[in-house]
Amino acid sequence: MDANPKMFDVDACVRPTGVHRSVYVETAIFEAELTRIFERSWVYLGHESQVSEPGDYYATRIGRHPVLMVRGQDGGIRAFLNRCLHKGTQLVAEGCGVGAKALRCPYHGWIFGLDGALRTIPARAGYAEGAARPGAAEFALRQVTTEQYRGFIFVRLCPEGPGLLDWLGPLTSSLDNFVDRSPTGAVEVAGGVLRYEHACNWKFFLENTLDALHPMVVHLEAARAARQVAAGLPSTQATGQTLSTFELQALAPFAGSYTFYDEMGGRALPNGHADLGGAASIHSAYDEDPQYLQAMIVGYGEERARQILSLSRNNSVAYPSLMFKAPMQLLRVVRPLAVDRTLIETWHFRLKGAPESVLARTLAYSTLVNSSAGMVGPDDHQIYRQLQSGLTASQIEWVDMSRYADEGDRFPDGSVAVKGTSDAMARGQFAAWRALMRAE
Amino acid sequence: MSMTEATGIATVGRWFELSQFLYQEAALLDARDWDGWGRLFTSEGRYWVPAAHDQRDWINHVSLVNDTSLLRGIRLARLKNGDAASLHGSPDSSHLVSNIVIAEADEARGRYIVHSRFVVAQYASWGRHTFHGGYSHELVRESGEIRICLKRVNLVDVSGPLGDILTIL
Repeated sequence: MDANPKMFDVDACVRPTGVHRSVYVETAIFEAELTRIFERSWVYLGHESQVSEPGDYYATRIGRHPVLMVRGQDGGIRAFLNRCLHKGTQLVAEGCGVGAKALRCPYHGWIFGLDGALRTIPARAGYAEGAARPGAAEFALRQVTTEQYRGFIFVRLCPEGPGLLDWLGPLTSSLDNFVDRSPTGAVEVAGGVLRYEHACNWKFFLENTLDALHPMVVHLEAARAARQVAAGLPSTQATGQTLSTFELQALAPFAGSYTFYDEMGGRALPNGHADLGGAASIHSAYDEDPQYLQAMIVGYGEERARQILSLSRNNSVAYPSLMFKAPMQLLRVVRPLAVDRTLIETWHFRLKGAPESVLARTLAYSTLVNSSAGMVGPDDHQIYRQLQSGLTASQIEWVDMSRYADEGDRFPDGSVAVKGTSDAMARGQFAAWRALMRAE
Repeated sequence: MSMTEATGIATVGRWFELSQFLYQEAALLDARDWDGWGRLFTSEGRYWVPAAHDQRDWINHVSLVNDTSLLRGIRLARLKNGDAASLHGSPDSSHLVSNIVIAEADEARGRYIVHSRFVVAQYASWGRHTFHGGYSHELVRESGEIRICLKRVNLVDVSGPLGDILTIL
């Protein structure tokens, strides 16, 4: 599959309590990851609500492949390589479109149906009989394998491999919690997207979202500034139900103690997936809108509603491409661009049946934390940049991931319950990395 | 002097005053006089950088910045002490403001909407970036002084991808 598979030794890159620095800085490894990881895994493509009507489409990239998902006239959602079968032109620009009747290549005008079939060639003369003609299977848009779980659509570029449910395993309960937080059990994309380019390897982002040893160092400054400003407020304002107050509530836990983060716990799961938080999270002490609580009780009954809301998984990772915050109704898509460039997209969701205040809170959180002009994200990004730079020091080879090695309670579903500050989640990512990079 | 001429001179005077206000705001930012910049806002004043072209509000759509006075206080506190990882080395800026137009003027209430274009250079230890776009300032005269009710920043490349925006635009 790779031009030169002998350029590095996968087994020599990962050991039980650490990884070799080359996995973050070597271009040859990055190029192999695009093939072996991003083509073999289930990679998050989008949400069904992004293509709610026939003819709606959404185009993005999965690894090095431009991919288009489109809802057909039959209501089904299909995904295709976003590349004309004629000369190879990308058919539609990245982003979304609505109500297309067909897909027309902007170069020579070949027209494809929403089901991918070649419908029309403007000038057919000269093509051999049985070659480029409407309906020819050889010239149909190349469909790629998709499966969805509760509306979240994943793509697997490699035709062979495990099904999505097998791949996600126990992580499905975190996606369940994302959707179950809607009083009607349905969510939809809303409130726009943030596209933030990071000058670092994609893996730093995924590891950091499960790293509970950094908030009290990297984000102390944001929490301290918030505390300082809060101290100067009149007391009525400091306890009022305003969005501003939500933002103070949102920043405060970033300075939480090591004990706070250890006790929130986490799960290391098969295939590189994991959660940070559970019993508690940085989101679990927020005030909830009483109308939202009421809607949840109406939707589920009091016991079930409390059960759904008491599970607070701070950050969950569906390796290798997706981080999501079930308690905050947002997800972040990891798009590797180069060994030291990664695009992070943040998408937000409306809980159908919930008051609008819930979406407003999600958006306020993202503006504060995930924006490239925010109070939290740029500080993480600066650390990633310094990791990328520090790891060029070739005389020191290993990156440590030994914290709480071999600790944790193993469950029959393959999950391991660990302390929040454990390196188990990062070790799990690299166990998956190694398995995918090795597989023939 | 005719009435028309007098009105014209008054308009030029107002345009000059509001232009000077924008230049002074830019100078405060470039001088890193964060408190001085913060004092340009009314108590309800908002510094807003939408995350999409034609974004209508900051409630139903995510923003890049949506600073009320409280959040502006946090942002300025971070800039002042410079301990945050992204603010090490004190990012510097150079603001160029031009094409200033008074879009709306309500002289009786002392309220003005001023449109302009900007080029903002951001210099950080790891690199530099130049931002381009337009400002819309909603201004009000309070006790004789011009103050900002709303500063809206429309980045031309708002659809992104965007890198770090560390300085105040």
